[in-house]
Amino acid sequence: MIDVMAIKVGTRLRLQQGVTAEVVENMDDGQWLQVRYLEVPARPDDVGSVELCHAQDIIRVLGE
Amino acid sequence: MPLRNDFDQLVDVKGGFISREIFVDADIYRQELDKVFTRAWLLVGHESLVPNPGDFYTSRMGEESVILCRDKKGEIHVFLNSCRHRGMKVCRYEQGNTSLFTCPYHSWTYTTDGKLQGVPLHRTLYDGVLDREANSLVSVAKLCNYKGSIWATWDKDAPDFITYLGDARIHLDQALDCRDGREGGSEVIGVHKWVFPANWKFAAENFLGDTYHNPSHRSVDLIGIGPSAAAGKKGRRDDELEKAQHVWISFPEGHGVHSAIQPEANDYIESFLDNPILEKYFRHCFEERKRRLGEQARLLPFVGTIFPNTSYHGRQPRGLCAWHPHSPTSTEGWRFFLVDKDAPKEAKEYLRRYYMRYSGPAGMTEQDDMENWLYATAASTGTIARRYPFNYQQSMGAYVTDHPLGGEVSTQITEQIARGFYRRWTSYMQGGDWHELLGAPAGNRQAAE
Repeated sequence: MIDVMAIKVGTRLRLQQGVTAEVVENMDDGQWLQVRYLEVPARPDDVGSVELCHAQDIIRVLGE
Repeated sequence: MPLRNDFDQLVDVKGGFISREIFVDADIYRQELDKVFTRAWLLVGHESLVPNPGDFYTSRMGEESVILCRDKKGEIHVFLNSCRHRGMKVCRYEQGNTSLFTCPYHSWTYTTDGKLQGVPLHRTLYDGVLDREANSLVSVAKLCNYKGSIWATWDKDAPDFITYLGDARIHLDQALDCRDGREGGSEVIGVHKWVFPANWKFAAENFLGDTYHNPSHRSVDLIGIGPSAAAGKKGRRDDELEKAQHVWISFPEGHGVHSAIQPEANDYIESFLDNPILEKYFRHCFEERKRRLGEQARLLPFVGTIFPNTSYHGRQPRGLCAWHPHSPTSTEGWRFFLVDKDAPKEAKEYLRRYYMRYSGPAGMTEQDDMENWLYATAASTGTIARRYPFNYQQSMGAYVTDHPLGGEVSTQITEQIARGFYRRWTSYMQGGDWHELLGAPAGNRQAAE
């Protein structure tokens, strides 16, 4: 289980569906991070968009 | 289920009799929630409860929990406090500040403008299916910030709030405007919430202008709990209105008020004698109000009820009150105590204590009132009791309809306001259109237009 409370802004994440994203805001509720999509294999047009990302969506932390 | 004609029999306004069934019957109560509380404008709160972006205050509309919140752009919203996924409350706190409302069940998450922003595993489980825009929090159909007080309705066809208020507006203004005559400017300095075993209409009716129940407060008057009690003035409040012409007004929308018109001379009457700072402050406010409003300053408030379940005290004490239905025989009272936002700190603190001494669950007069409401409710649930309707024949026909204040104006204690309230309640229960609900006679829609 990833402790999202400890994840800092700028951290890169590997998400479900092969998505890569960068944290732009930690909502500090232990569940949600605001992320910007860097790679979205299924929907390249989504790259650059900002969305909420839930802790369950995170496969692993790639690094800051 | 009562039919249209049944309500005419239950509420006999012309004869002055109202069945006890409407105060205790479970089926009628369920219909009230559907036909009254989903259509009428209801008080939700006050802007001072949510001063900053992200601030929220959970409130009620009928039996249902709603969230009053200010989004990050500063706009005020009212949402049903229920997740679109499985209905769990998305906000379980009374008030606070947040950037997100996260459902504790499956974590669907909404921004403070109600948008469904976060759905766990969205791309895996809902890709291409879930329309997040269409699954926002359910918003009220209409919302109005009226001089700081927040009102809302679920009915998209409801008239705007000012139209809904009708001529009762200037009386409600007396509670919401600054003591020195400036418009608006109030703030809530505290909210009391409590549940009591009585039908909500007993409370709403009490504040329509039921001056007849004054003897039930006799003990309080003898003790003296007003702001000049220590100076030797007995009673619940100062005698500002002792020389005034009292008026009891029934408005066609179902609202009712008890106000007073001061004599032409309209001299200052000493008040707040127990505290020199307040005495000076209110004397200043009186002179300023008179200078600003001129002749209009002669109108002073007492109490009133805005149909269906919002009451106010206009002066001593001063506040708004919502009577939230819980069941046919249970009601949750909320008192929002008001002061001028820019009043001296000492005045606010003094008034807060005076208001609590007067109203709310521990207030001396509210305790008297509640004793009446709850025993009246309990004594009306019995099989024999239900056979005997309440009597509403007081001051039948003793009103004029050509008074400048509008409505049906009486200058004597009257139940005309209660008859008007239940006449309109009947219109709602019979599914009347908005022309009828605003007071046009049924079947006379064309004339109203």
